Amino acid sequence: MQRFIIFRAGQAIIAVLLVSIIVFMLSNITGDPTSVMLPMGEATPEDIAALKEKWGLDKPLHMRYLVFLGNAVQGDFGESYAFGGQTAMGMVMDRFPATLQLGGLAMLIAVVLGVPLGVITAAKKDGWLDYQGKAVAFLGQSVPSFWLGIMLLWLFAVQLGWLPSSGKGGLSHMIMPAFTLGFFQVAALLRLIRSSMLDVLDTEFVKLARIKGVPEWKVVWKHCLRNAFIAPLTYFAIIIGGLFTGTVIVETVFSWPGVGQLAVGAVRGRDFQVLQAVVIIGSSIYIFANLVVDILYAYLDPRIRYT
Amino acid sequence: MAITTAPVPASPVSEEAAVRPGALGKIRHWIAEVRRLPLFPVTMLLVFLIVPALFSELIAPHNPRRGDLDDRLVPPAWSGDVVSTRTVVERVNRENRQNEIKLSDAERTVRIGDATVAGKAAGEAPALGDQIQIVVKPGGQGKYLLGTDKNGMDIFSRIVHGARLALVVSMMAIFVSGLIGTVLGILAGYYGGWVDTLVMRLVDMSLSISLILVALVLAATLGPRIENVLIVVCLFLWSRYARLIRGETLALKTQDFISRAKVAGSSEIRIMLRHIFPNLVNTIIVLATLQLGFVILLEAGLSFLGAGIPRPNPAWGVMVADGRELIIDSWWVSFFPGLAILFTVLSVNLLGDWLRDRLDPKQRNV
Repeated sequence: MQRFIIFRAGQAIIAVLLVSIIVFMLSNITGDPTSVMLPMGEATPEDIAALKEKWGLDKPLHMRYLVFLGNAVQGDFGESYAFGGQTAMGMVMDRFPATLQLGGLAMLIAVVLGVPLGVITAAKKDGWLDYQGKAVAFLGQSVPSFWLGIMLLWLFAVQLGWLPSSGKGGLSHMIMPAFTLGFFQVAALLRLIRSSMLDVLDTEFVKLARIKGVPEWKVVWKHCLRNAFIAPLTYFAIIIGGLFTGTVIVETVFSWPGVGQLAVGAVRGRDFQVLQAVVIIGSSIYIFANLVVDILYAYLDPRIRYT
Repeated sequence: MAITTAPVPASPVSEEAAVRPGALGKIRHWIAEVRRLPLFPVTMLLVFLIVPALFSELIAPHNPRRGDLDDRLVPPAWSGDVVSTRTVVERVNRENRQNEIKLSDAERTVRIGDATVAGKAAGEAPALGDQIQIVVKPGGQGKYLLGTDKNGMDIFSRIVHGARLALVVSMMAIFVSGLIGTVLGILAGYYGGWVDTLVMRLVDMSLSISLILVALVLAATLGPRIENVLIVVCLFLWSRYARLIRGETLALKTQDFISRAKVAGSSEIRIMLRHIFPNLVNTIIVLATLQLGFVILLEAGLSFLGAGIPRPNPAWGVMVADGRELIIDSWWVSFFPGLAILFTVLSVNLLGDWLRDRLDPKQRNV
């Protein structure tokens, strides 16, 4: 187990380094950032040289990468081009709680709706509810979240006026974005739990429990559900990935002041320092979450460790 | 007859078909296959994706990239004029503007001819205090079935042309990532050892990179381009194929027909191409169909964020994004392109589900 953890952790570190190299290379091959920062035609060669020295652009590429990496490890991604004076790291950290709130509520919605629906549809396989569940699952995987968000906005904010249309505030501001973000996850969880439950319901110990006279609800909700949670764990990476993609899109739709909106704004403003900070911090979290899930899975299912 | 005596090509698919007598049997076989297709998803797919993609020019009545600026934000054809009753507040009696009146709650003056006045003959001037009917928002026009956007471009035409973009981009992405994934998967599964280790580590890497973040970096550095979508999708999807194909190859490798082929002196390349690959075709087709919907959604999402297909191309995601700020007055700008995405992806997913059950029951839990 120890070997497995060390091996996976090493792999995760390499992945983070790889991301940092890709990000660094991409933001450096597109030409000289000084041309964006200085007014066209008015800058003298001395101005350009001074600016290059300030940002360390006069050194060779691999040296710059090492400096960049050293700073990044210490949480220093430089200052935002667009918002002079503000550090990129500070900007990301300011936005982080909002994204966490939204993602947390979306996850809660997904679990509260997805898990029970998955269990019920599996227990009543081929019944009326199972077909409804299938419809929900297919819709959830087919509906574009940005469109769903805009349509909810139209219905509940413009037509009915029940909910505020955008921005951050109380719980009422969070309902629509969190539901939009969570809907895809509901569908994914429902399918995973259902198929995993079907496998468990077919095992010998369930039959034994039934013969023993354990009430059916207890068989389903206690004996089966516990075991059915293991298999979906492998797909957790996909769920986290979906949450990441979803956050960026949903925050854009609802003008939610989170990290995703910051990233999209940075793309439009070509604010590389901020974008680098977002991508490297975001990827690190993503990779770390996957690492935790992998280790947890290996802990729960010993067969994984030795393959 | 020439047909029956013609040499049968060595590919296993035709070997299977060749069991039936002659070309007629083959045609019957395919007709039976087609008739077994699920009617609902296939019809939907044809209507929303394939037919519009193939015959965009024939179906679309307007140019998808150029609009008529006089017809901005025209609502769908079936929506009528929005008429409101207002009171005449003032008669404008300035030079050049003799025939205009001012109404309550209105910002601009209205020409008398444009308003219908109850109980007065046409052209007769209304008096102060008269109730007047005026068109607040004009209704739809027959030539714009689903309305127009803020540049006066016909939404229906753009959706039809958008189908081709969606189909071409997603098919290319699936093809390239499928090719890379299949080749690496077969190599890893067949040779094992360090090849396997290397490929599988690369797979792990690919799975642990968040694709949306890479897409944003690409968009910021290179600007929104169609190639970005392809790069991001390939970077991400090839590993799905590689992992699955490797597993299948491992299982196939131990089967008798492979050892017999080896004994018969087939080269390794021949074994991989002629004996292993044909047995993987079903798996690849199923996975590709299941991924197609995902890729269409992903491309639309990237385009929506401004990181995918650039304007003024009629990409569905861009069209939905255009309607975001107009949602209060002009719901149709976002609604119809999004509906096109929904129906297309839904039909692809239903078809993929059906194909999986039919061609490759092993994948049922994937």
